[in-house]
Amino acid sequence: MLSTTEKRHLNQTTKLAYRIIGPSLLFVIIFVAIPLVYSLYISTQEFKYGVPTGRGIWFQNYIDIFTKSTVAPGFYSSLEITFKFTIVAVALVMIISFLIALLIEQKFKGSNLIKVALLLPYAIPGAVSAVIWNWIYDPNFGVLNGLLYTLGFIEKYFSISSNPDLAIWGILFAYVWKIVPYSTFLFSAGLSTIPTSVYEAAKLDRSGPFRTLSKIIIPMLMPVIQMVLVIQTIFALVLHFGLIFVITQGGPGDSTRTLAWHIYKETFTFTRFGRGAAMAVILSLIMVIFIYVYLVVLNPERALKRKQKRLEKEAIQSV
Amino acid sequence: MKKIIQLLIALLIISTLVLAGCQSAPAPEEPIVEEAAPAAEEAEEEAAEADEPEELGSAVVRFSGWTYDLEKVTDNIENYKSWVATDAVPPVQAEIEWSDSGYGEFDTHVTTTNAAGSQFDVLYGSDHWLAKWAAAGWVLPLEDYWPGVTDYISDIDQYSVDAMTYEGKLYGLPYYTDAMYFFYNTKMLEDAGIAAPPATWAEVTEQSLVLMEKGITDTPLMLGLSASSWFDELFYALVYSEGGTVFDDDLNVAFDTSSGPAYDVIEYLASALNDDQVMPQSVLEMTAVDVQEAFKAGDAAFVVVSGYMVRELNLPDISSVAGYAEVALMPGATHETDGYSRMYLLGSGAVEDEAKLQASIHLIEFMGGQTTFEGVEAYHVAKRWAVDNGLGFSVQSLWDDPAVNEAFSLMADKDIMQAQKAIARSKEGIDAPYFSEWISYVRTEVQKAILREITTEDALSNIATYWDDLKSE
Repeated sequence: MLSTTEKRHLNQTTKLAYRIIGPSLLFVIIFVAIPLVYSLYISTQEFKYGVPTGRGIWFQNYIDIFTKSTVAPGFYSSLEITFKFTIVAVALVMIISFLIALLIEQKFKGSNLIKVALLLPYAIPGAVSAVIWNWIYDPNFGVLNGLLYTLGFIEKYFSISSNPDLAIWGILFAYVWKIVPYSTFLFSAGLSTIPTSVYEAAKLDRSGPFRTLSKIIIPMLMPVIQMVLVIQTIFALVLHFGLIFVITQGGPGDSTRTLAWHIYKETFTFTRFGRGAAMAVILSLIMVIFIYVYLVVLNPERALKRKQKRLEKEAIQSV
Repeated sequence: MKKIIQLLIALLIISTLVLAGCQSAPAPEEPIVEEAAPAAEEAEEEAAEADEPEELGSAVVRFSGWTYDLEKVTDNIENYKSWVATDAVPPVQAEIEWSDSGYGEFDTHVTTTNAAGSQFDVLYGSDHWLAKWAAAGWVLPLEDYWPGVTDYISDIDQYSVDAMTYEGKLYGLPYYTDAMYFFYNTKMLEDAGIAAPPATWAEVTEQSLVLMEKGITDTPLMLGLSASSWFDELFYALVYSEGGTVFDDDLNVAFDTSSGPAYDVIEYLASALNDDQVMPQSVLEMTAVDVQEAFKAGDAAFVVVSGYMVRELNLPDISSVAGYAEVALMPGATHETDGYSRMYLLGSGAVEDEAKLQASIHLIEFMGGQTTFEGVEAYHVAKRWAVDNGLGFSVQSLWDDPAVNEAFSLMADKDIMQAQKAIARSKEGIDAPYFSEWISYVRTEVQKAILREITTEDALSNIATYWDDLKSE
């Protein structure tokens, strides 16, 4: 039971907290919550050539997306491509950025310069980097073909963006190159919070580098890993759009038609704003599911509780 | 002294103001003595007063088009502004707010602008977007606001008139009209010992294989198969070349899914890419513009490109095959091709007020019609595009112009080009508002069939089902 003074203090603290987060909350409401709610509303409306007919159709757009013979196959196909892309992209980004973060945390001559150089891919605007990669992949004068040909890996120039088996990998590679610096710096910031005494203690215990990494560093870094995983998943689901727009336009065939691209086509090419909004809502739900899974599965406290339960069980069994 | 000067300046200012404000007193009205004026003179005076165009004031016209030779567009706009203020009837002081986007994104540009609540007053358009834009109310029937525009119909090629007509009403005037043409490299054929260009698609493959065998080129055949707007023109051109039909007059699907011209065309493309390999895989990311560049660079022996691209093929400064690019009738059973029209349209924003409406109509008239400018009556803008840029046109009387004739003679065999255009057909199905959505779907399905990810039969079946589904909505 709190005293009056304690209650007053808590009230004042709460008010201060709201004042501090107020502007950000307002930003989120205006630019996230309201558009999301409006998208939900649009997804239940009928549109004809981009003009609302005024007729509400409830969840017909959602039903069409999942069941209509001329819509569903394309949707499921884009969903499959999106999932594959996201899983591979997130895995690659996490591993590469973590390794680079470990590297740049080592103090050596030129480490600061490498840190700055690493920023460059992220600093280049998305559309510009997409154009650059389009040139790199060009089947006639692209640098990639030139390099591989000069090194003797290929006998003839080949096309990446018009090869249905290679096009998605081309997008993936360009995407990973662009996004790795962001996670690298997040991991780097996380690693810098680990006290050096931890490393010294590990050394004293004759713990090898792999054991130190797996048993000490990664567990201590779990909140950062969790956060980076969430952010990278959200990014991977949508941020590749610019690359697809410039390099492949969803093709060849539909080999790079991710859900983000599919939503763009439905909304702005076919002017089916209702159906496009419905797909966007579905994409948002997918993001929420991913985030929920991460937060639950990777929750450090939950992991600790599970470990405690296991130890208790083992103790009981041994008795 | 200083005070005296200040006093003098004050007096000067005051006296100036007084004089400016003074008006001479009106003279007393003299008694009006009515005279009996002859009836004919009275009638003439009244008619002269009626003819005198009413001053409409000024207007700002929002004009949008795709990005092509913006320097010339700007110059045309400046000419329009000086013409509309003095020679147009009625005259209007007009300012133009020009906006543009790439051709491939133009439909999206118009869609998003209108969906956001904004409108254009005048805009470029294409035959395959007109039905959608008209159904959505983004463009207006020009003949409803300018009845005189129908006088142009007799001077315009019928397929172009058809392309600019929706539900029986004329919506615009031509910007440029063109067709898809088959071009070949005469030197490559000569070096390979081939006497004449191919007349069928099978011969295209045969000659391509000979060219490859003799090491003349690795990529003899190039077609712009990127899933973009140019794909639409090419696909229709190929189907028409075999005498195919896509839709009937009632907009029902008219192609067979397991045989026939549409089937044969897709099978041919798949075979050319995968089996005979006379076409490089990079064609799937090439538009007609990229194909044109490849031909100019001497990479390809056979291409299908738009007529306006032909002009550059034989220019020594920019083409390494200058002098060797020649046109032949489209290979195929009937040699027909796709003809298309780009046009100037009246946007829904034009009806905001009378001055804007008249300025917008005059803009279309100046750009697409016949006007008297600098003392000369002509299709000024259409002629300029034709002579300077080689852009095709559907105004028949322009062929009488010596400058136009000369310009087109330099490009390629004018007789063959005219003969090809005479059997050009406009794309079937463009009267349907959902045509642009359907054709966008077709690009992906045909690409999948060419890549053999699905069978041609499945692709055509999907395409037919998609059309029927859109039609039923």
